[in-house]
Amino acid sequence: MTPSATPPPQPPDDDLVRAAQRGDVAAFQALYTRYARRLYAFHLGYTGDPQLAEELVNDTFVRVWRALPRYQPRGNFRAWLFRIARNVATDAHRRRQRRVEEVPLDDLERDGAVWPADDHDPRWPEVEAALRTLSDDHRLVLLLRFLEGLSTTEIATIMGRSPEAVRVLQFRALRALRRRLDEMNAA
Amino acid sequence: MNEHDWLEQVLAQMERGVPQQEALAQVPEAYRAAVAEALDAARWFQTTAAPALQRRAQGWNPPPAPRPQPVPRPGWRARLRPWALTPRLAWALTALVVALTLTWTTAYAAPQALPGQWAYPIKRAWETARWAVASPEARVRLALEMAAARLDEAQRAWEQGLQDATRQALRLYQQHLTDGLRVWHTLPPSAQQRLRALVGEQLAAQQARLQAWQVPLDLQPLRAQQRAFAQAAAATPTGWPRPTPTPSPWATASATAARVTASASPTATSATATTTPAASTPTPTATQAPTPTPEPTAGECVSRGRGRGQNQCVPPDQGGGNDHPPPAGPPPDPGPPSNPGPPSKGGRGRP
Repeated sequence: MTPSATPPPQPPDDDLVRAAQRGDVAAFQALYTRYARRLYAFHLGYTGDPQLAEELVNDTFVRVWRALPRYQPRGNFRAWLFRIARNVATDAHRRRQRRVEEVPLDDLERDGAVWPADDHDPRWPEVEAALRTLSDDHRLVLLLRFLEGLSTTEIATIMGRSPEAVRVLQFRALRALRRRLDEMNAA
Repeated sequence: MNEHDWLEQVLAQMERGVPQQEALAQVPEAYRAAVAEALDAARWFQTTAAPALQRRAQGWNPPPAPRPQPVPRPGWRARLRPWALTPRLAWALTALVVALTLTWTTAYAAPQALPGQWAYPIKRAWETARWAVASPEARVRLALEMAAARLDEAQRAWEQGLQDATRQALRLYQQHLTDGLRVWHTLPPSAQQRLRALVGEQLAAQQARLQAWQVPLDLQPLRAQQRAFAQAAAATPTGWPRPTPTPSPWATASATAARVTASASPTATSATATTTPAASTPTPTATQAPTPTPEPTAGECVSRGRGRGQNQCVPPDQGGGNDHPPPAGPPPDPGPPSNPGPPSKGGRGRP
C-alpha cells in the first residue's frame, strides 16, 4: 500500500482566523504562508516596486494581526484581507507621491526605484509599461478582478463602492488598457 | 443593460467555459465592438500580466511572518474613554444620550418653553399630535387645556418682558377657543351635556384670570371669544338626552297594579291628586286617551317621537319654571355675539 501523494486538506480561512483570534501564532503564520505571495503580487502590481511590495506585505499582516479581534469570521476573509491590503497600498502610494514630488521623476526612473526592469521575465517590461500608465483605481480593479479573481460584489466591498460603479470602472479600465496596448504595439 | 453590464455578463459566461465568440454573439450590435475591445484587454491581463506578477511572486522568498507584539491591555481609564469602546457599545451609548435628551426636552424643557424659544415648537408639535388623535369630545377638553396653557404662557411672557411672545400666546389662545367652539358644535347633545360643566368651570376660571390681568393690551376679542364659548356651553340643555328609564320588576309590577286600579275606577284617584299637579289633571279615561305631550321647560328637552328632528328643547336661560339647577358655567354676559356657528369641516385641523 503506497502512501497517498495528495496533500492534506488545508483548513479553511475562518478556522485559522478563529485560532489566530484565540492567540494561536501558528494559525496566523499559516494565514501568512497562504496569502503572502498573493499579496506580494497584488502590491507589486499596484506599486510596481518590489521592495515596497515586500514592505507592504509585512505592513498588511501587521494590520491584520491588530484588526483580527474585530473581524467576524463569515467566510469573507479574503475580501477583508484585500481591503486592508488596498488601504495599506493606498497609504503607501500617497506617501510615495509626496516623496516623488520632492525628487525629479527622471532620477527615480533612471535609478530603477519605480518599475524596475526584470531580466528574468521577457514579458515584464510590457506588463510594467502597460500598468504604469493606468490610474490607481483602474489598476486596483484589474488586479482584484483578473489577478485575484474576485467578483464585482467583493471588489465593491473592498473599494467602498457599489457593484454598478465597479462594473463601470472595470469597463473603463479595460478600455484604457486596450488603448495603451494599441499604442505600445504601434510604437 | 448597457455595455458595462454586457461585459460583466460575457466575462461570467467565459468563466463558466463558454467560448468568447459565442458569448459575444449575445451582445447587441451597438455594444459588441466596445465589449470585444474590453475582452481583448481582459484576456491580455489574464494571459500576460497576471502570470508575470504571479511568476515574480513565486520567485519571491517571503520573510518570516511578522510577530507583532501583543497589544498591551489598556487600563480601566483608557477602556472607559469613548473612542476605546467597541462600536456597538458606542452606538448604544449615543442612542441612549439622544433618547435621554429627547425625553428631557419633551418632559421638562418643552412644557416650560415660551413662544419664540427653541423648545416651543416641540411643545406645539406634541399638542398637535395629541389633537390629531383625539376624539371630538377629547378635542374640546384639549382645546380648553391648551387655551389655559397659552394664557399661562402669555402671563409668564409678559412678566419677563417678552411682548412678542405674549402677543403670540394670546393669538394662539384665541385660536384654541375658536377651535374648541367649532368642535363643540359638532358634538352630539349627550357629549355636550357631559362636557357642559367642565367647559363652564374652565371658561369661568379663564375669564377670571383675564379680568384680573391688567395689561395694556386689547383683550376684548379674547373676552368675546370666551363669552361665545360660554354661551354655547350654557345653551346646552341639561336634560338631553332623557335617559331611557330601565323598568325594574318592582316598578313594572306597581305600574301594572296602577293600571288595574285605574281601569277599575275611571276617575282619578284622590290620593295622587293631592301630591302632584300633573296627576291632578282630570283624565277622562286613564287607559285610552293619549297623554298630551307637555311643553318643555327651560333647559329641558321633550321627545315627540323617534329621531333627532322630533325633539324640542328650550335653553335654560329661556322660559320659566326650570326644575333643573342653573348651569355650572358662568352666566352669559351680554357681550357681542361672536359665535362662529357650526363649522363646515367637522372640527378637524390643526389646533
